[in-house]
Amino acid sequence: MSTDQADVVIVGAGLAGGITAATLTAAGLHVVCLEQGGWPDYDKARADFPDYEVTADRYWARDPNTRRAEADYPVDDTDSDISALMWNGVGGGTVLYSAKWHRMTPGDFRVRSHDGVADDWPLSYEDLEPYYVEAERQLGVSGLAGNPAYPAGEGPPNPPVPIRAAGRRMAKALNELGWHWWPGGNAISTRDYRMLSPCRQHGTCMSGCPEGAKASTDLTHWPAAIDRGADLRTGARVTRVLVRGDRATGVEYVDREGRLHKVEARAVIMCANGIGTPRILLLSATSEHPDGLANSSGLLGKRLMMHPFGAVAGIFDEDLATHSGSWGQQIQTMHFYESDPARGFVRGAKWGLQPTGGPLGLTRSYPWGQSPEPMWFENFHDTLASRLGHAPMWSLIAEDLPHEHNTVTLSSDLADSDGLPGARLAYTVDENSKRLMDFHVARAVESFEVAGARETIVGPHVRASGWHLMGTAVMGDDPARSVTDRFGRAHDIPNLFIFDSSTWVTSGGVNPAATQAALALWSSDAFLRQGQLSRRDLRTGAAA
Amino acid sequence: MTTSPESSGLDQTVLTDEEREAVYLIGETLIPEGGSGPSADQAAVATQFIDRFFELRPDLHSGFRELLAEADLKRPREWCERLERQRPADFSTLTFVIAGAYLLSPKARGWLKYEGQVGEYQDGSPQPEYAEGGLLDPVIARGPIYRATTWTRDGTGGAAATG
Ligand SMILES: Cc1cc2nc3c(=O)[nH]c(=O)nc-3n(C[C@H](O)[C@H](O)[C@H](O)COP(=O)(O)OP(=O)(O)OC[C@H]3O[C@@H](n4cnc5c(N)ncnc54)[C@H](O)[C@@H]3O)c2cc1C
Ligand code: SF4
Repeated sequence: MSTDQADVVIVGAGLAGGITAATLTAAGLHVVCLEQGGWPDYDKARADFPDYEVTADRYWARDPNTRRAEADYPVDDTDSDISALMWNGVGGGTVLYSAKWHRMTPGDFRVRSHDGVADDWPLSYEDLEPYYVEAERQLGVSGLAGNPAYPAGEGPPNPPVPIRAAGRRMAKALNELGWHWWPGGNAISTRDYRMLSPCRQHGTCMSGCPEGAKASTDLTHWPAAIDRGADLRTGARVTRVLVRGDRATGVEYVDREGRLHKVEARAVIMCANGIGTPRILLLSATSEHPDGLANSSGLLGKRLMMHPFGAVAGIFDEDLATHSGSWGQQIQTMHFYESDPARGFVRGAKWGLQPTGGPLGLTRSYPWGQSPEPMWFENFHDTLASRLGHAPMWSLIAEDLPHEHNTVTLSSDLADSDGLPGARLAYTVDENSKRLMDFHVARAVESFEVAGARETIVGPHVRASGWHLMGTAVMGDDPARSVTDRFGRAHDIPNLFIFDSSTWVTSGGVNPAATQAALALWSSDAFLRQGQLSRRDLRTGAAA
Repeated sequence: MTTSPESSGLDQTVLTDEEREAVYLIGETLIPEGGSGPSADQAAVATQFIDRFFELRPDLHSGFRELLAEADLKRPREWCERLERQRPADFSTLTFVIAGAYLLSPKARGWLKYEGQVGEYQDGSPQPEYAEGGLLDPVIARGPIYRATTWTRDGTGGAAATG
């Protein structure tokens, strides 16, 4: 087994891993990052080719159980209402994400105080606000400042994506209803910005952006971090975090040739996402930590949140050019975002208006199978022609409350290509989410009706919607009730950190990348600011 | 489509002539003649674009052939409807292949005036909808809609929420 040393070893080169590596290398630390996958192959981004729709879900499949690439690990979702989606490679989820960009609102951090459920975060919107601004700069976010769904403050650096005919149509309808809406925020650049090019509105953002317009950390963070000396090792699957007593000493990993290596480090930072991180910490159990590392609270792997997802499409007589457009979102609304006791549920959802893509996608059963217009046989031509370009869709992200019975554990019968146990999910969509979704779906239908849609189509609950993986190593002030402190430092092992979406206390009802990026900056900043691992500390052995 | 094993000249390793006949029948069932656009046969699904499809998606080849082997070609409509009702995942594979091959054909794309996901250039120019006097005016006029919090961290490091 080879052994080498670093100041910091980061596990996972996704959203949090990329941002953390870039921040820590800029501060002069020697960072090794271990990533089980490789770099995304943008030659497989086929937006400009006639075969796009036929090939898109092959290389860019979202479910690791379908993709089954060497870098993937199996996720047993038999007992889960939702299956987990992810990209295991440099860039992580940002390679696949549709880049809808939303900060959480101040109230999202205060769910217990406002609604009497779940917990408050040990930090506030105001704490994160400067980090949101910085994350938006780093990822070249496009959008418009001044959204009344948030406190006033600085907005993103790039102007919003074009509203297009569909956005205009729905904005007018929401104005008629007196409902809030705002230009869509997207981690998609609308002009030449640092390493990003302007978006060309293909509507293929989740299957490889061929322009380099969508901000994923393989583009926005890793090249600069590597230039500054970050040692990113791909095809390096971490098998366990090594500990001595209550100190992490480094990690062990296996390379693609099956060779085992060790990296010793002063600090270990987990950025392997809401499933990968608890999986590794559970795999790292020792006789001193029999239930996994950093698990004296018993909460490691619990409180999994995945954001139940809803889709409502409208079909219009007019051509609204909905086959393309940034995807992403043209506009968004948070009109029903805050709790209203009269509705019979707590919390809310955000809706984003998006295109629906090319013709092959419109023949698929989700959500189109719910249409009373049959697709096949003598109806084929009329149905397809009536949908193509005529069908904007609201995608609904609903707040998911944390429950300890929603868990990530180790699979007893599935293993990855290196023989390590896969993850196992147990997750049910709760009653609050169901009521919340019913209400929001009904309002979304109403909005299409007011806009003059000929038909509305409501997608049924869909399993393949676990795009957001949160909560499985919750942060908090009380070590008996949380895994890390508010800066992501494990209570039990003070030089083990978790900077990914595992630490979320609640999920908010918006897409998570903005908050995840801000949290990675906030945690990295605290890591450096508190002198936990400054160069001097390292040399004198006085690290935290 | 009329072919015979000797005369078809089509790649037998992709599909045998019998299988192509099945593709023709199922294609014409799912995407028949008489609509506003070309049928599967008019778009050369069984003779040309199915081959292209499997060049692109070899992973779907064997599953599709298994479906062809069990198809009731005397009553293709009933068979398709039954498959849709009883085995939606298999129906989804069947229709993905047939419609996927169909939509590779320039004839089908021409009928739909679909040029692919070519997108449109934009340069982030100001949009009138977002300027003063535009669509956002009433939203801005209504003012903030978020729920404010009044929160401070208490002396002991616990969260003291009052908002
Ligand atoms: C299809 C899809 C669409 C999405 N759309 C949106 C959206 O529109 N807006 C939004 O805000 N969010 C979206 N998301 C969510 C967003 O991408 C994630 O929230 C974000 O990427 C999570 O960041 P992370 O750093 O926690 O983990 P990830 O980005 O998932 O990174 C984790 C990394 O750790 C690596 N890893 C795991 N285990 C190991 C191991 N044992 N050894 C080595 N490496 C390991 C993985 O390979 C991976 O690269 C989407 C996600 C998906 C999958
Ligand atoms: S729409 Fe924009 S972000 Fe999406 S794939 Fe095309 S260029 Fe990239």
